[in-house]
Amino acid sequence: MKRWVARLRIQLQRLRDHPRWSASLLLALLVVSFFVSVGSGAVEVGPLDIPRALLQEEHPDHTVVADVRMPRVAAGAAVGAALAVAGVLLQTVVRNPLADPGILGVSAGAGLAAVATLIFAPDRAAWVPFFAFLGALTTVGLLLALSWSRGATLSALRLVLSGVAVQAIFIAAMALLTFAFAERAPAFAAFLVGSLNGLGWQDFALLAPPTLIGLAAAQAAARPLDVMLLDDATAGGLGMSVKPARLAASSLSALLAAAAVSVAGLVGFVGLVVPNAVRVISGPEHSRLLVRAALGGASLVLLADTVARTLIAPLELPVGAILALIGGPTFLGILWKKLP
Amino acid sequence: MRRLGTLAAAGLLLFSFVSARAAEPVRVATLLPWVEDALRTVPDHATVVAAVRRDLRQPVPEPTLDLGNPHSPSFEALAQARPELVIGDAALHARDAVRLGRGGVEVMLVETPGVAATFDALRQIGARVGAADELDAAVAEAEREIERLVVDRPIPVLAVFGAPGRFFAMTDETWLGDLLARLGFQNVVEPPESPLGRYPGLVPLGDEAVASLRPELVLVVAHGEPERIRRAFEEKIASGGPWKGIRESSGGRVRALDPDLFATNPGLGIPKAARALVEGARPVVEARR
Repeated sequence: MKRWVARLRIQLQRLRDHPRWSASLLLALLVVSFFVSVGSGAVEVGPLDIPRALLQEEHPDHTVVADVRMPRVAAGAAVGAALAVAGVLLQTVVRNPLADPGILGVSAGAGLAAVATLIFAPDRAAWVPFFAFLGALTTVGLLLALSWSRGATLSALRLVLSGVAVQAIFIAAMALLTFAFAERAPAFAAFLVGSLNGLGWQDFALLAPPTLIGLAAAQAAARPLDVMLLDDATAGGLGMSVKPARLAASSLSALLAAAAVSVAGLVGFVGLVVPNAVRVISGPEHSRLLVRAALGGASLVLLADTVARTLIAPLELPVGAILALIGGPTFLGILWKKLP
Repeated sequence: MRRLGTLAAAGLLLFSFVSARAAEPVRVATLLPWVEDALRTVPDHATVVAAVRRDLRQPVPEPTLDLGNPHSPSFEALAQARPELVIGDAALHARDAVRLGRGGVEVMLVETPGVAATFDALRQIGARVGAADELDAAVAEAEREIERLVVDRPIPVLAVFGAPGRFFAMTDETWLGDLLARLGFQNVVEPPESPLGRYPGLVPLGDEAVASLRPELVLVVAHGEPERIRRAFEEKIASGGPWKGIRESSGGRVRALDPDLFATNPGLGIPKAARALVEGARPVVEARR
C-alpha cells in the first residue's frame, strides 16, 4: 500500500512538472465525458454515430441528440466550468480551500434572487442571471463582512459557519416564496438540489455569455490572483490594492456562480471538489489552475449528469444529489485536515 | 361520358386517399394516466406512444414508451416517441410547456381541479383527436351514473391524503372532494379562503385543525401502501388529544381507498370510484338506522 501511494505521488509530481500533460489529461477526460454523455440515455448512440445524429435531420435520433441532449450537455459543461472556477476564485479570495459557492451560501443568494425574479417578474426571464448575480454578490459581501473581525485576519471557522447560517436563511426564504407563489415558482426540490433536466438551447443562451465573460476575466487576472494568495502585507508590498482586488475576484466568482444557478439551481460541491483535486496535479499557480479547473468541472458535471439520468432511467435523479455524494466526503476530508 | 367516368373515379380515389390520411390516429404522449385510459378506448383516433408511470416502481408496459415520473418526465424519451400531441396538467406542467413542445410538438394542458373540469378536459381531448362523439357519449354516461349514485342524506366525511408522517385533508378543490360533494357527502374540511402552495386543495392536518372535526367516515388515500397509511392514521386518532374527536365521531370507520382508483384522478373511471365511495359509506348508513 505504501509503495502504491509513493508511486502515485511520483506520478502526480510528474504531472505537476509537465503542465501540458495535466492539461491534455483533463482535455481528454472532457472529450470522453462529452461522448459518454451525448451517447447515453433513453436512446444509446454510438460515438461514431453522434455527428450524423447531430447533423442529419433525417437520422432517427436527431431530435433526441440535437434538441434534447446537446443543449443539456452544453449547459452542463458550462455549469461545471463556471462553478469550478467560481470555487477557485472564492478559495483564493478567502485563502481557504473549504470555500465553495454552494457551501458558503453564495449559490443560495443567487438562487433566492433568481426565484424572486421568476415570481415577481415572470416575463423578464432574460434578467434572471443579472439579478442572480446581484444576489450572489450581496451574499459574498455579507460573508466577508461577517467573517472579517476588526483588524484581524479572516477566520476559516467563522466563514464556514456564517456561510451555513446565511445559506439556511436564504433557503428558508426560497421555500416560503415557492410555497406562496407555487404556480410561478420553479419546482423547489429540483431547484434546491440542482438539476439539468429539460435544459434547452434557450437556457444555454442565458448561461453562456456570463460564463464566458467570467472565465476569460478570471484567466486574465491569473497573476493578481497568485499575489492574492500571499498575506495582505506582502501583497500590498508588491503593489497590489488588496481590497479592490479581492472585491473584483469575489464579483467574478459571484458572476460565475449566479450564471450556473440561474439555469441549473443550487448545484453544490463542484467548486469545492474540482479546485482541490486539480491543485494536486497542477499546483496553485492560477494561470494553470483556472483552465484545468474549468475542464475538470465540466467533465465532473457531465459524468455526474450521465449517471443521474441513466442509473434508474427513465426516472431521473437530480445531478446535485450525485455531486453531493462525491462532495460531502471531500468537504469532511478537508475539514478534518484543516480544523484543529 | 367516358371522360366524366374517369374524372369521377379519380375523384373517388383522391377522396378515399384523403379520408385514409385523415383517419390516421393522432400520436399522443400523455403525462396524465387517466388520459391514457380514455384514449385507449378510441384506438381509431389516437395512439398513446408514450406515457408516465402510475406507480414509480412499475415501468410503463411496451410498446408505449416510458416517460417516468409524471412530475419530472424524461424529455429524452418524449423526443424519442415523436408524438404529435403532448397532453399534460395545467397546474403541474405549465412551467415545462416550452420544453414539452420542443421540435414543434403541440402541447395541450388541461385543467383538472374537479369532476366537471375533468369531464370538460375529456371533451376537449376528444374534439382534438377526432373522437368527440365517443368521448362526449362516455362523459355523458359517466355524469348520469354519478347522478344515480347520490346518497339520500349528507354523510360528514374526512378525506385524508396521507404520506409517511403527514396527513392532508382533501377539500372540495380536489377531484375526490368534488366527487364526494356531488355524491351528497359533506366534507368536514372547508377549502381555505386564501389557498397557498402547489396543491391548494390539500390542507395540512395539524393538532389545531383537527380538534373540531367530527366526521362519521374517514377515507384514506395514498400513492403507495394505503393500508400502512390507514394504520398510521388510526394510531394517530387513537393517541387521544385533539385527534380523539375524529375517533369518537367516526366510530373507528377509517377506510383505505384503492390506489388504482383514487391515488390519482381516474378520468372516465370516476363513476367506478363513485360506486366504491357509496358502497364504502354503507356502514355509516346502517349505523344511523
